[in-house]
Amino acid sequence: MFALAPECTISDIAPLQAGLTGLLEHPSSVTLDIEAVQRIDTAAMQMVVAFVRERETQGRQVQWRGNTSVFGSAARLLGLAPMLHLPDCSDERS
Amino acid sequence: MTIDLTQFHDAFFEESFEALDSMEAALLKLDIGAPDKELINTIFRVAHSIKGGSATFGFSDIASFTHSLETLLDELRSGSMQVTLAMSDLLLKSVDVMRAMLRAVQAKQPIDAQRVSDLQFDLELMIAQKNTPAVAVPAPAAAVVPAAAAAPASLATPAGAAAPAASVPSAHSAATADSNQPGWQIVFRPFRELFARGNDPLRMMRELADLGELTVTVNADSLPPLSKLDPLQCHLAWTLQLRGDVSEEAIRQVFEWTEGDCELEIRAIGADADSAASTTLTEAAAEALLTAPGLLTAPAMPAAPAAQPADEASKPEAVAPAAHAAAAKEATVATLDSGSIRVSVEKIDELMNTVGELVITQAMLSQLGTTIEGATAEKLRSGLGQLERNMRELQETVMRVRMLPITFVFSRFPRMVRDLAQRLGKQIDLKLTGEQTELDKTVLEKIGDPLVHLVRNSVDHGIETPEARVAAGKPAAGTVHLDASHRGGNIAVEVSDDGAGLDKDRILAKARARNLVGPNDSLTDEQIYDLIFVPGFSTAEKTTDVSGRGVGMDVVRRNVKELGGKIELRTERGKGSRFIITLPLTLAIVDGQSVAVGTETYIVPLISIVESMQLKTSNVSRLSGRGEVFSFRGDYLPIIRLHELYGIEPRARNLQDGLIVVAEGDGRRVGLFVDDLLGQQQVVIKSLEANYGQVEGVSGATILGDGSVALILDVPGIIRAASLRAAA
Repeated sequence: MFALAPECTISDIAPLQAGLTGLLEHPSSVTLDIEAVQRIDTAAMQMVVAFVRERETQGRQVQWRGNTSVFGSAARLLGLAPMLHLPDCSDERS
Repeated sequence: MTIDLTQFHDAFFEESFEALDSMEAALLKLDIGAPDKELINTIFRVAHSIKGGSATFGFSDIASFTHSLETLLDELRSGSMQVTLAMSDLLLKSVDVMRAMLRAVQAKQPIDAQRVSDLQFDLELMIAQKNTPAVAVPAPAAAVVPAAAAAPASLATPAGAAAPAASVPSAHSAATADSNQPGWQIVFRPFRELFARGNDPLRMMRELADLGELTVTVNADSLPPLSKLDPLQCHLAWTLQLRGDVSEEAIRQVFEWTEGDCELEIRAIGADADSAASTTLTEAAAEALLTAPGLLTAPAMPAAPAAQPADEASKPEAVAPAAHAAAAKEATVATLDSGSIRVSVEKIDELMNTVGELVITQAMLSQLGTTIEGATAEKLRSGLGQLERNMRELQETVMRVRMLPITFVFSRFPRMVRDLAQRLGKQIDLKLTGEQTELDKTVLEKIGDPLVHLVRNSVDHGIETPEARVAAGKPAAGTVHLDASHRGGNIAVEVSDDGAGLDKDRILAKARARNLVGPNDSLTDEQIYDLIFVPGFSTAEKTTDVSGRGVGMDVVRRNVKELGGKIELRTERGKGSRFIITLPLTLAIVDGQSVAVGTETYIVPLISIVESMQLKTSNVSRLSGRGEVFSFRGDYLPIIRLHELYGIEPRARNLQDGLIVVAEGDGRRVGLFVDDLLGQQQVVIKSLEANYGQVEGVSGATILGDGSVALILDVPGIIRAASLRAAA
């Protein structure tokens, strides 16, 4: 399992990239914990989508854990939710 | 992985300062009690964008402050709080604090934390008082995060496919949003560097979702796998449908900060999306059109289909038949109206410099052309004449690039006058006209301070208190008027007021008390008013921290003169004053009089010349220890022999064999003795400091038509140098 940090933004994206890259070759299903995410930007969302897609092309699963409100709202506003199969949730300002 | 975002800081600061200017202007236009919703939106967007950019670049203090500000503005936007005078003051102070914070961060200096936290406290207190009127302690500004269920595990959609559209109802109009409403289709294709420039599409989507019902379709085709992803680059693009009563301008403002960092198409769609008519070009296509050879004369310029990829649209084969020309022209105008590019001043100066060189080369060729004889000589001269005309046009065009509207300077005054009037208990209407008058960037930067002095003086000493005005039969509110206009080859900037005007008798009495004027000297009105420009002279009864220390007007005149301009004063007791500043359009070119001294040519700026004359020996006197003087309109002026000053062998040594150029600088007049006058011409100024070093009495150099170098004289500097020689 990999837990996303509360602040997932471009100025501090290195840990996210390192964490996700380390999970790319993980043979079994990977769970991303998005519970703690308080703020996320497009750069970070783009990275998560790239991760999910690359896992998908390898036939490997990604599972989600935690409250999706901030993450889900960002995914929906960016039109990325269908790629991640995240449910709709209410919008809020960050 | 470490990402260096510092390379984008400059652009962020520049855009933030500009945005704060527009925020301030919008705040000043806000009507207390009945504010324009669009103005509030503009103000909100500035705070929102600065917050986002600051957070991206890790300027957490600014991000935190702007978050509190944004929360307050959001309350205004939603109508749950009203604009009051206290709030307006608080918001204006917030602009000041944000500017100060940005300047501090830019200069890598510490932020004034106390000032920031005090104001942030006030902002949060105001929000808290709205939420819980009985409690004075501010509520935390954090956003409330609603709970939602965890998502089930899933697989992503197949790679390369655009995701299905996601509909995002407006926060304000979700209940009433009608998918059959007319609206807009927005194609937003960020360039790779969009993130790194502090832009976050998520922020824009939120703003759009606030405007109406937003449907988002993302194109992730170019998104590489994670292992090859550069996180600094944006690989996503979006097609959006925004339905509701939204203006195109409102949408463009959302994307304002991405200008130059994306392709953006906005087209109206009716209730039936299929009936959409494209009204815009892609910015890339428009740029391709602009840079295409023969754009201005081409009979047919096509509108690239809105859905066409920009790279295809910019290909030559995208050119459409002539029948589309009119529509294309409209489309180009519609798209480029708000289009601009940022170019560094250095690049423009390089361009100016190169054009200056070309002008010199052209002048050399023209001179050479006059000496050529033969069958083709006439044709050559005709061609050279055409070259000269083209060069003049080119030079004017390039100079216009450096021109900026004076509104950049005027825009600071509404706030300044408002604050000063409040402090002084006066009622003042500020009228600005001619704000679009353009002048050279350098002139613009240097005229700000003199204008601030003049406006402060008008507000402090010119305009009377409401009681005094009413007693004098005037309206309680005074008017300060700033105006700019082109006059001939110059710019005139006027600062006028309908206040008390200058008291001639008091000025004269004060000048006599200070021995600036003899007890029996009789002065014309013009000479009396001119005394206010003497250093240390002030008629203010009491000095204030606004003005009246007597250090202002002489500085104003000196600054204006340094710009090659002049200042005049017209005033009438009881009716007001008018200061008229006349400035050259540019500092890159000077109107000069060429004079000959020995084998050398010098240029005397025309603005410094009073007149030129031949001296009679009877008018010349020699004063012991003070050199030669000559009588000129009742005064005795010193003679400065330029050949002596520069150590040149002259053609004329006797005064009656040469000519005297009466020149003025720093309020003093002298006679410059030269061999001959050669002619008047505009010359391109080359910096002597940049190419050689500073020389007293010389402001620069130019290259003449024959290729020789001529020095441009700095008359005030010559007077200073000559005074030192005389004293030595």
